[in-house]
Amino acid sequence: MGKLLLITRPEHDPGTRYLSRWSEKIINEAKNKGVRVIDLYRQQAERKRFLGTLKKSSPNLVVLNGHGNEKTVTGHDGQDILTESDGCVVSGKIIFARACRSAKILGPELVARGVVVYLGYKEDFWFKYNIRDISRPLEDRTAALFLEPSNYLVISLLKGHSAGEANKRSQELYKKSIGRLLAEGPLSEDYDAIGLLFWDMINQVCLGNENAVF
Amino acid sequence: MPEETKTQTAKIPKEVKELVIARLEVISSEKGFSIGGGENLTRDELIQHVRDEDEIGRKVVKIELTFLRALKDGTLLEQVLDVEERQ
Repeated sequence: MGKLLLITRPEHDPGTRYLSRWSEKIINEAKNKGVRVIDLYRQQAERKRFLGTLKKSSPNLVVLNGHGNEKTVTGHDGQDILTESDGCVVSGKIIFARACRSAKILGPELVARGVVVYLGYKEDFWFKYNIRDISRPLEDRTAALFLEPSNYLVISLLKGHSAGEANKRSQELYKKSIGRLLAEGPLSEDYDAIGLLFWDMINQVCLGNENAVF
Repeated sequence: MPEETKTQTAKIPKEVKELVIARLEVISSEKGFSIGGGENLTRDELIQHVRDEDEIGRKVVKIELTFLRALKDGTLLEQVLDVEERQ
């Protein structure tokens, strides 16, 4: 069987487009490590297909990109894709939701219903980007300050680190971004991003069994 | 009234509002901001939200104050230096 990663990549606005394109790096890393990947891209990132794939293929690791709130994570066009009622379908999985606030209520609820680990954000996940780079998100060095650290959470899991260690290593990359901007000083064009980086870092949490590995 | 609701409706102190707006005004207008909740905003839109003291404006204020407090009490620098010392 081997390891299997299920990833959702809705793309219906600049924010989801950035998350989707940056997730290509996760997909490439997974494939390089011999992990099979099911990529629910754009319209495929919808609830019925997502739940059907979970039941049929039983991936060990689930990565969700999208918008969210305390109780749901959304897929393409902002439709709910994961909710509190899905505990039995995601039981036994490691989940990372790159979405707002889902680690506040949804995450603990799913962990209580059998999810091994839920990695996500207790508050809104913010990132800053260059408007001139909107058509080429992977070249956007401002967005990279945010998306490289959050990507690294999954990449660290793919490298075999435990969930707790992966979260810690990802947070250390946030700190490195902050440290670099502090060293560059107020004249750096992204000096103002420090506050947002700090916010994302302190609100990125690992709920459940921190020793779990992919 | 629950504590969280009180925070969401309480007026933002004038000096805090001015401080946050002043910090936002130095950001380049060529930058955009994405909030995982679905909004994509320009610098000027962020400033307007703070002026209006609406939900997004209050979030921006909360983020700025969290950062400034961490800077003041040394938490932020302590964490950054801790990583650099270990490398």
